[in-house]
Amino acid sequence: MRITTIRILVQIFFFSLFLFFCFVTEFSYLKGYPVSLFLEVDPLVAIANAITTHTVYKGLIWSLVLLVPTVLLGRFFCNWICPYGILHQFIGWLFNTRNVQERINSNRYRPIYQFKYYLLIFFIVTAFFGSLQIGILDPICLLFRSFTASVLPAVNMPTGLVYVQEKEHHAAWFIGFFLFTLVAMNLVIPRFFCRVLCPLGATLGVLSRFALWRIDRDPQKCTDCDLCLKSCEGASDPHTLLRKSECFVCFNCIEDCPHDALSFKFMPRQESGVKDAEVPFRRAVFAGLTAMFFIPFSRLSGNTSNKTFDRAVIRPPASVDEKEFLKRCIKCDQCIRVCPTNVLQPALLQSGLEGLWTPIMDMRLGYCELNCTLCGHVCPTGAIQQITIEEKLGLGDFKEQGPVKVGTAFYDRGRCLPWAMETPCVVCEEVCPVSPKAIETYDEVITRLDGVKVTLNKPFIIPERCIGCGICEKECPVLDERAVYVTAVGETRFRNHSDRRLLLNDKDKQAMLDIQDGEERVSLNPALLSSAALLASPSTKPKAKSGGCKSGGCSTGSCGTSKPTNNLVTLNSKKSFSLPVLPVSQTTNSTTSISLSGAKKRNSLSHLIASISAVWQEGGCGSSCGSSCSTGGCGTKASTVKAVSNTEKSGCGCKSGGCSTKGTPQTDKILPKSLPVPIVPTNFVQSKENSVKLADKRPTPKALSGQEGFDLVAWAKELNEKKGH
Amino acid sequence: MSQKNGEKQNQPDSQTKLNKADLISRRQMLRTLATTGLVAGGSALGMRYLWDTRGDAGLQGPPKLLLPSYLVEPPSSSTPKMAIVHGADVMKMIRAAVGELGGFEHFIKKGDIVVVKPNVAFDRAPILGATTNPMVLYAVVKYCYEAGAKEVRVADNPINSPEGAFYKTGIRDATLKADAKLFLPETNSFEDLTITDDSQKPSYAIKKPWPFFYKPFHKATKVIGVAPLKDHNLCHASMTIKNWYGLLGGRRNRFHQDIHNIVYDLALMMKPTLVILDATRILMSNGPTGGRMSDVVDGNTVIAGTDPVSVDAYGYTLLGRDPEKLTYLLHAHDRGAGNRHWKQQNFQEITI
Repeated sequence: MRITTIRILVQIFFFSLFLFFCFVTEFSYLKGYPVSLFLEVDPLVAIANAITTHTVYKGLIWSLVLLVPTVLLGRFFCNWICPYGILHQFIGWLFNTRNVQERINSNRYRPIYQFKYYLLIFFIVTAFFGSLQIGILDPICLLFRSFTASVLPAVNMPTGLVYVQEKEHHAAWFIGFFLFTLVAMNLVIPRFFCRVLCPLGATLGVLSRFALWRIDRDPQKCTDCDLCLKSCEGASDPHTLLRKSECFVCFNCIEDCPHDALSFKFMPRQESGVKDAEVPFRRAVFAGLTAMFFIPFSRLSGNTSNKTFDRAVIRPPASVDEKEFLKRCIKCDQCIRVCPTNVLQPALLQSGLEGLWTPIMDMRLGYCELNCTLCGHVCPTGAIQQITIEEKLGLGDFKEQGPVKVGTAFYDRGRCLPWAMETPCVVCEEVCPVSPKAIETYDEVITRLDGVKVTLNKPFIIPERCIGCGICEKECPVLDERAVYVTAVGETRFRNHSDRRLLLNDKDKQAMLDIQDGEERVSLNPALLSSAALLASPSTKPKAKSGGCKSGGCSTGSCGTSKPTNNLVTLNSKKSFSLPVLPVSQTTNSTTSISLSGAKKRNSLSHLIASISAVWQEGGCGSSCGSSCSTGGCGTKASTVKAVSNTEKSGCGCKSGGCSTKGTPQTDKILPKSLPVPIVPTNFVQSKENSVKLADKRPTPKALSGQEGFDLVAWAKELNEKKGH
Repeated sequence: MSQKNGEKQNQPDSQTKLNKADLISRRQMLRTLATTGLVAGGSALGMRYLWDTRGDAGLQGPPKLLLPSYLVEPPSSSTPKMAIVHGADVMKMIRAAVGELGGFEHFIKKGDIVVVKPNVAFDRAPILGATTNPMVLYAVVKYCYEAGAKEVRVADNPINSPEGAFYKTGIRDATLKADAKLFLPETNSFEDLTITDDSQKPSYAIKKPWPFFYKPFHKATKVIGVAPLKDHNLCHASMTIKNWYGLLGGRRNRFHQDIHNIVYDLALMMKPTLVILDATRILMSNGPTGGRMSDVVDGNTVIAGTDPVSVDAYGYTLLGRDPEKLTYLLHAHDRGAGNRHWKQQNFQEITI
């Protein structure tokens, strides 16, 4: 098989791989595929990030896979792997109208091909001054961005193949036509982008100066027919002194040479000669100077500092602080691709010139999904940090830190239906995902103009609880300019590094804290409890000793001394409103958390999904906790409403770890068959020791049996194993 | 001027010949005239055909679409209309509850296409009680198949992103595990539905056709609603009738302006074969989203019924509230959509 045929097969493979990664960068398909691989092997991304952050972030170490072979073989990436280069070559071939002589002439070297080196110098110098701009022209970033914002939505529009629900993107027309213009330039100058603009090509060109292998021309055999130029992709002058930095190692010249004068050789003889990249020193200095002025010019234009930042610069959850963000974000827009709600959008100039195409949230198009941190998981450079759901919601170890906030919601009372137009609404309150809700209402009964009495719930924000997710803005029926809207102020950024916070203290960190935490409790509305007490029929007065366990599974009153024969009785008694709290030690499936914690970093994506997915286990307080609770000291106090709250404070036996010590053996007879409800997702515990420790305290989950052959626990395990690999 | 003529022109012939050659041939003239005539005549005919003299012919909506009644007559007049089952084993509870009403075999016939509508509104873990217990859904789907259903479809239009919501609530897994077909609300899944064309019982809030998640209902013969019992900030409780809200699309955020009439309209819109109220876990507060374990209590109960109004009336008592004060139930009862006096109805309560 000819070497060029092999090359074409390799090109087809890598382009398909790129398309595949583009397609699967989505919640439904993302099963731990290394979707960022093309960006991670890109040495320019790694080098520029190393300059701005002085670190090589996680997967960027993969760039060595490309860097080392380039030093040996030359710029082979450009014509073998780079999906953008492959696209250019294909389009140039498909729409070619040149005859042989015209092709030979179009592939001669031109001085304009130096331009990419000036661009590279510009990007590298800006990186030294703390602004990462390579993503504007880096081919992988550019192509991924174009697919995300323009191509995939365009394909989806008539076919519906890509998304479940259509997505829109800001400036999609510009990103799309930019791609088209660059591709169309192939008709003017073949491989225009690769030869003239590509900063990655320039980087690889500089590296390939040291290449040990190169095209070698045998002057004895050569008849100077110039046919080698016919298909030369890089315009590297194989007919004379080879320009090693321009050569794409496509092997076309070897194929085209009628006299076998060309070959690919290891350390060929000197006399066939090599020309280095032509970068005149004075012009290089000028490019550097431009870059040095770029930073102050763009930053002095506002929008980047904490004094003048745009309210629309709402960064994805766990983004690093803005200055650091601009040092890391490569504008590849993978986060935008993976975002399930379409909230992430490529920015125009909201964060200054430097922030072009970086991700910001437009809450009119979507909202930040509560149990989702996908953007951080696909980010190849750590501009959005990879965090767990636990950290995002401020649970467990992150309780002190509190939930991640991306901004704060505000009301426009002049446009809000209950405030301004005597019309009931409060969709915003309904959809607010935090508990207790960050939107509360002043309730007012008014007589409308037509004499009808209506109750108006006039909403307001409780800033301590608001996480800025923006679902209120998304769902607000005042469409064009929402009556509730989120702005960036109040954001926390990663590990609370933001200087754009709003409150001195987020004193109420209660929001969502007790999902998995046995010690965090918020009592139910007392009015609700009393109405429950009223409704309870006298005959169903709870037995004094039968209830009061505060754990979920026990609230049916089944942990008393007698087996309940009529659940309605206990349901209508106030006992059923005792506060069910699932201590973390009971809610977490031991097997699962161990397997999660043993995860390698590369697989964290699949584990995110595994952890999001329900982990199934025996219901609530099941056998383990139920047994302890019956004697756990909370029994007699539960007969009055007041006592319920007392027991909370005094602590019931169900607190994490407490169960096993207080349990007594007598209870196993009277246990109810526990409810087969699925359990809250396990937070994924990163440290192994920690999770094992928790697991040790945890009772072994018993498999549910006798349910017509359907074993939820086994199913859950199977599910997790499947997702894990 | 054709090539042929051009060649002739170049011949060094006499002046008269040259002039003659300048003229086009007869054949060419006819061809040119025919082409011109066809284009002109074709345009005229086409324009005439598409001519809209009134000016609104292009604005006609699609034909009227209504949902049929999916009701099944009870086996006998003495059969209970509602069954309340307490217990722990969901599979057995569902079987017992529907068994009291006549059994799945009575409601689902061989070859039926059944739509099962769970509530998957939010991307909550199932234990948080904001969505249907996947186990309940699994049981319903499985028994439908056992009764001979040809295809069971599970569909909902969540508020959160559909894929995430179905996945994180466990509903997706339960659906696939039970071999049912999952329908996600894709952009082209919606059709404009007329709520009712009964002039005796008109709809109160949705007056015009509204986008409805119709794709799963295409050729469907039976509908079963499987709703969790939840607190709701605005309409106080989300139960079996409010569950149909999740089948509507479009700008349903405007519904909140008249929510009780909307829920009544939903009762008019959907005449289900069966409704099942999933009170295995009850979201007592902070509804409809919930979010904390302290918002949830164990109910260990499922209620099955053929009259959604009775089922909801009973369900409301489980929230510890008085169904006499729930506006949409009063509307539904007064306007004849069902009976809210569940105690007076024929019902069965059992504990497993």
